[in-house]
Amino acid sequence: MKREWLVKLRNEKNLTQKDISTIAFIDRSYYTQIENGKRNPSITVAKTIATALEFDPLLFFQDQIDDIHNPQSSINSTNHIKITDFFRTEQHKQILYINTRFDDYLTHLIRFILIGYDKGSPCFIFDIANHLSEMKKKLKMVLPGDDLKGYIHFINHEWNTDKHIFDSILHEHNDETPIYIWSRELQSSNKNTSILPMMQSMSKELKNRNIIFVGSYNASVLSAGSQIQLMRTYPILMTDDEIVVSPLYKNKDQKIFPPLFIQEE
Amino acid sequence: MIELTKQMSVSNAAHILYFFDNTDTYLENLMAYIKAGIERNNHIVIIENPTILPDLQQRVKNYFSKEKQNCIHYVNNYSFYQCYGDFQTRKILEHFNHILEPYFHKNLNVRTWAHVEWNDQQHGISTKLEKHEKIADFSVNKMGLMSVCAYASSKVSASLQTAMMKSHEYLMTDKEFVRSPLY
Repeated sequence: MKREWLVKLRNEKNLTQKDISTIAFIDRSYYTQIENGKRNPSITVAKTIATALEFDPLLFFQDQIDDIHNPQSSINSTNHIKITDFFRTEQHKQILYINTRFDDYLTHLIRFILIGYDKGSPCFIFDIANHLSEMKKKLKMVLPGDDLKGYIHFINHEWNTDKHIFDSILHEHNDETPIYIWSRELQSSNKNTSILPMMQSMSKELKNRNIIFVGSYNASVLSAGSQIQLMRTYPILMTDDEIVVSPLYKNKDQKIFPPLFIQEE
Repeated sequence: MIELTKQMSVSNAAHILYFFDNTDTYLENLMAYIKAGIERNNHIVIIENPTILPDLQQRVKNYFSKEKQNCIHYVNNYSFYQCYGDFQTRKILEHFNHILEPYFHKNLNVRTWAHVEWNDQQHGISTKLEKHEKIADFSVNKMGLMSVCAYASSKVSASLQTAMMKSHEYLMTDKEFVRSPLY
């Protein structure tokens, strides 16, 4: 489908196709095909064009990301954009993601990866083998080339995930680089399948690092009681459709009343 | 806004979702809710598990005068939610309206507290509960009613809890009372 939005943005800047192809160091015919929707740009080319025309490079991949969705899922694209915007702001944060629909999980994860790449940040994805396999397939649909090689690290939870992973993360990258970490936390007695305790135990080393961490849980397996405990631990709560301040996380801006019997006393 | 307790006020039609872990804390919160309602000249309708009712009724007898006890009304939640059979939202809400109608007819203020339970063997119960609470929220708002829906947190999934946070303005746990950010 023709990218009418791209044509409009180019025309608003009074730029020709030749101008854009020169800026992006690509053939004019290649750029024409991108505008006509016949080809997709690599992430590098997407970023260059997006910088020239001042828009979010993820717009190029919107159709492919949307195609991941099951047509029956009740995706609200406006809310998904808000979640994406939230990933984009570079601040140390921990996000609790209570996931119900697996297609939405993949979509959010892909956006997370692309945003991290866009910022030049390494991205570490902890999950089980079949999810990682599914993720790699979907990512190939969005970005067929090798653009992301070296930036994304897929780590199988079923291996012995331990502190050494984080040691290497910290030493390979300098203090200024934001680090994007996404973990499918598993409800198991094996504490090595949960990243959050590891991150909390390393709080001194991680204190000065800019880490955007998403701890994702399968909502159909997690109990309400466990979710309540997690909402006390994570400052941000995310579902498939929205992202909000966690209502049970204590901070100076959050109004939390005690339960009724304590109020009454 | 109306006073829920001395410390806080809530919307006129406050639909409160309570997930509890501990039965003793649950009973203390229920008693606090009753006391706050009685102090404000409300009638209280309590839909409760028959195994918990005797303990509750004893606490109520120990605390309130006979006159005040007459403002507290009990409904067996097993028959109300048809725990042995099929969870049917329409029948439950008709029953609920039927219970409350006499109070509205006499212009009496009433608050409700419902301990929601169901037959675990039912197929598709999560979807039914989610739908039930959405419709209940509409009814509660329409009636201008303060209403607590209490669930044992070990019996509900995070998926259902998250869905219910969208149909309740307030969330309560054994340790906190907050606005639901998903409402």
